[in-house]
Amino acid sequence: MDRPGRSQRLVAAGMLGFLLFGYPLMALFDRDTLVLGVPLLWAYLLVAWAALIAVAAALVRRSR
Amino acid sequence: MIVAVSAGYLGLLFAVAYYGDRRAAVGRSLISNGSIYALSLAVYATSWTFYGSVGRAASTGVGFLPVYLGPTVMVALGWFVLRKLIRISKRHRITSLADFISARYGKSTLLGGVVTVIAVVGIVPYIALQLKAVSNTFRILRRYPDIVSTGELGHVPLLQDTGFYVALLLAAFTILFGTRHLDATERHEGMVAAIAFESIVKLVAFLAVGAFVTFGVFAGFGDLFGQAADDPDIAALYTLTPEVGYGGWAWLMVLSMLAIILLPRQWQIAVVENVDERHLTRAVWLFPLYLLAINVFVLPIALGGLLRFGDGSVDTDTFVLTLPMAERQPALALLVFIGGLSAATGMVIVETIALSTMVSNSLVMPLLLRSRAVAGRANLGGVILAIRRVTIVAVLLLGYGYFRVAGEGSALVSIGLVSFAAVAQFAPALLGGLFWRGGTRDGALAGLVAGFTVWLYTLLLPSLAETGWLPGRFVEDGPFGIALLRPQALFGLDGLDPISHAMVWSALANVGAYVGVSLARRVDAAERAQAALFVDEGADAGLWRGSASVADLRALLERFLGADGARAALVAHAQGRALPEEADAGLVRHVETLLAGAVGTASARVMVASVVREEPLGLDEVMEILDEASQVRAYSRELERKSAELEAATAGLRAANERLTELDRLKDDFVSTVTHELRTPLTSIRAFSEILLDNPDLDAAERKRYLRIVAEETERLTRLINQVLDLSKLESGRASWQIGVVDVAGVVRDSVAETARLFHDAGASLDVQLPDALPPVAADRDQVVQVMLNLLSNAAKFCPPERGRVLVGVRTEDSVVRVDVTDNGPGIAAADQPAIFEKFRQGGDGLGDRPRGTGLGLAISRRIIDHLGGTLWVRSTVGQGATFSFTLPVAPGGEEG
Amino acid sequence: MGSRILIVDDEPNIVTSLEFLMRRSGHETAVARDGDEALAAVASFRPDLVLLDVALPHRDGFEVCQQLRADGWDALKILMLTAKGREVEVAKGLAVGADAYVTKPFSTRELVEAVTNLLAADR
Repeated sequence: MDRPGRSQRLVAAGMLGFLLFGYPLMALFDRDTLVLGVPLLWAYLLVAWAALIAVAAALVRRSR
Repeated sequence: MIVAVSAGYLGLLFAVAYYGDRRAAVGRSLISNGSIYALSLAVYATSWTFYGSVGRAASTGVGFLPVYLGPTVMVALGWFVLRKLIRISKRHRITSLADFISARYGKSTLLGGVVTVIAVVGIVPYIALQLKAVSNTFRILRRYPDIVSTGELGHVPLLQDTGFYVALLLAAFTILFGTRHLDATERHEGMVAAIAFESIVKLVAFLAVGAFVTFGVFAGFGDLFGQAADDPDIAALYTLTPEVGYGGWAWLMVLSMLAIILLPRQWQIAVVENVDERHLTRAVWLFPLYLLAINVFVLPIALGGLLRFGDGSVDTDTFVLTLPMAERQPALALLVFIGGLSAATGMVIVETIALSTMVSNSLVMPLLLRSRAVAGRANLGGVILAIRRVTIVAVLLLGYGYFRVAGEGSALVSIGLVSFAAVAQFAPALLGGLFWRGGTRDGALAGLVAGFTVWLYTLLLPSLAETGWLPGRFVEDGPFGIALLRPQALFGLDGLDPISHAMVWSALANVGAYVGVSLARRVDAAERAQAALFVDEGADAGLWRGSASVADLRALLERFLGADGARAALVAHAQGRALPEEADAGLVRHVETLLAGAVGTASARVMVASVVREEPLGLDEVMEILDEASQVRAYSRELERKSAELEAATAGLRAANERLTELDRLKDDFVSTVTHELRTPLTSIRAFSEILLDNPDLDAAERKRYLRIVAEETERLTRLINQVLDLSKLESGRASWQIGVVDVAGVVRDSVAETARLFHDAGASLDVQLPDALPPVAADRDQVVQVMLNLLSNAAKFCPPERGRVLVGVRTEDSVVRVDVTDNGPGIAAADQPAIFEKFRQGGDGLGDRPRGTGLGLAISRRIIDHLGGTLWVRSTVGQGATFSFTLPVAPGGEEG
Repeated sequence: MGSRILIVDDEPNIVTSLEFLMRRSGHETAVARDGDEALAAVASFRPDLVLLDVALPHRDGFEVCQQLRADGWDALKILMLTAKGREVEVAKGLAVGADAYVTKPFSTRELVEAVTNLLAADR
């Protein structure tokens, strides 16, 4: 399954992951507050994580 | 009771593994499924995940997450790296990480051995960790309904330690499902099935306890977090504490990104046990999804535990188990225990298989093969299996030993990270080997040794110091009191947690040594070829010279695969052709690859080399061969190009030649025709002249007649000569044109007057129709007159005698003036119509009477009209006369109404 | 001596001149204007000699000559006349069975002489 496009897009997704879970972006959410009753940072991390997984899944599906 | 359940569970595991193996043997593989592959990758989640994450969350909030975020990012980022690893491993039958690195760097046995040692040293603590978890949780559970901390568990004698028995049981399981026979692909389908099953059990158990804590003990997330927020100490966990810091966070991610591939168990599952590289695409999202799911409740459980056991009486690592216990849920607690057992056993099984393969292939076999006694033995397959089994038992006992000796003090998590850091040392050699052709064996060796040393110094020693084996002062003040060499603050780099600190220095040492040494030394021929194989995923170049007999190779194979296996392998390679006497390079390579699966590439090479008389290629020879090959290619390309050019040139020449010949022929034809035409009237002139001369007694009538003929023929001759000259001038462009304003009506009238006599003689009538006003045309008057004369005389010639009627019509059309000359002669067949405008062709070849004329008239007329910018054509049907028409463009500015 | 001469040419004026010359020599003449007429005329007129022009419509003189010889008119004398006088033409004419080859424009004297000689000689 050689689709160079797919590898590149996945690499891009990985880079996105770095961004999402890296200092600049995370610091935004690193606050001691509750949103909908749950800690902001924790919620952000889980949501971002789920989003990244969804992106990866979409990438490999579409390129099939 | 717990024992019974545990035993039952382990029995279930055995059953699943057995079933998986049976299905594989039959050919209906259970595990050839992307989801199973992704689930089996979840062996990454060990009891560290199960228990330790909660413990870490209890002290650092979300600080446990990078360990799982890293793999998520890695499978996307490094998907193509994984794919490359799988492809290369399959192609070369590489069955372990050590073998891969060894193969990449010239099939170096030394390198393989070093990697194995590092792996074993690094992983043993991790195994110990698992056994510790099992042992401790077992003992805690047994104390139900009392809840104790691990510290209170106290020392347990060896024979009563469940950990010990678990270790033995695991050894048995692993031996049974991991070393039943020698498979060239080193795949263990039953084991993988069991692992996937365990992953499901883990997940279910954890989700169960998580749900219980969140919704059972508390009233949902909101309630849980809300209560936690009320306690300032606990609320501090909502943010990244200074303890973790962003630096630590990042390093943790990097570490786990490397670990997801480099941990021996991960390598085994992801690369070696991979059935189909397409399964990777499922794993890209399914595996991270699993990690997400199993981590959702970690923080809630940690908080719940802190809230419940806020006084520190219970080990945070054990919250997962103690919470249900505290809430009087024995069944759930048992489930949790089984979940933890799954996690631990999964890790231990795969890790020991991977390690045993590495030890047998890369450490022990190369050493053994040096001794003649072993190298000569007939049945080496059994030897290998025996080595592996011994290794499995040894590794497990080592792990247990480490647990007993050194593992009691440290938190689970830190041990795990220490192992991560150890396998991370493989990264430069591996990744460099995959993408950098310049990485050399010496470089990899240097890098590994340097990195490992740093690791030892900065991580392993301090952990030993922690447990009392080394003096604590060693860590505090540095060796011999040298502050700069403090193991956890080398050269003054403090402020980092021990792991990050160790990573910084070991990475520096490792990469620095790898790159530095690789660049400094020359690469030898075999290594360069190997490098190309890996980096370019290329096929083997024909860089092998030597000779071997097929019989010897078969004997070699038989020692490992048995007589049937050996024969099958050879026949498969021959693909239906008869086996030759002497083996060619392809066969030798095939045999070597087959053996590599069993004994590792380095040993396989050694064994094959012993059978084969190889002529080693020096670097020069390799370069020569490569040079030759590229030269030959360049040469043949050049040759192709030249021959293509040659063909083109030849074709061009041939075409030109043909054209010239054609022209020549035409010229010849023309000349001969003209000569003929000229001579014909001359003949009459001469003949009659002579007749008149020789016969003075001719009567007057005859004399007159003959004289007239002479005159006519002379005229004819003159006309012909003139026309030929005209035509020649027209064609060569030497004619002089006097373009002026011409009145077509005037031209028509003049030419009619001139040909009046002709018409009279022919007995034909001539009608002229002229419009009242005609725009003047731009033309050469004399030439137009000539054209009219030609057309008129033709018309007259072809008219039927005494009945001829010729009509001349002139009109204006668009921006041209058009003249039509119509006769009622015999007409011209459509096929002949184009021909009559050619030189010397005359209508009338088909008739008996050859009409007078030169045959050039129409040709000249057409050329004249063409030159003046008009058209000359004919419309005719046989038997109904003909109409010759020509057009001339109106003079600019002369348009009238 | 009165032999029968067949004149084959499509140029009327040349035919006229040839007729005159032959009659002057005392021969009987017949005229054909193309190859087919010529062959028919040979069969019906039974000439002793044929003055055969090469440039004829439909069939050229060479063909006619060839045909005549093929048909068995061995005793017939054939004298070819043509405006083309290259050596190759002459050779071709002789090869197809002509007895003599005269190029136009010809000298009347020479022509008459050639005819006389041919008629006198045996084949």
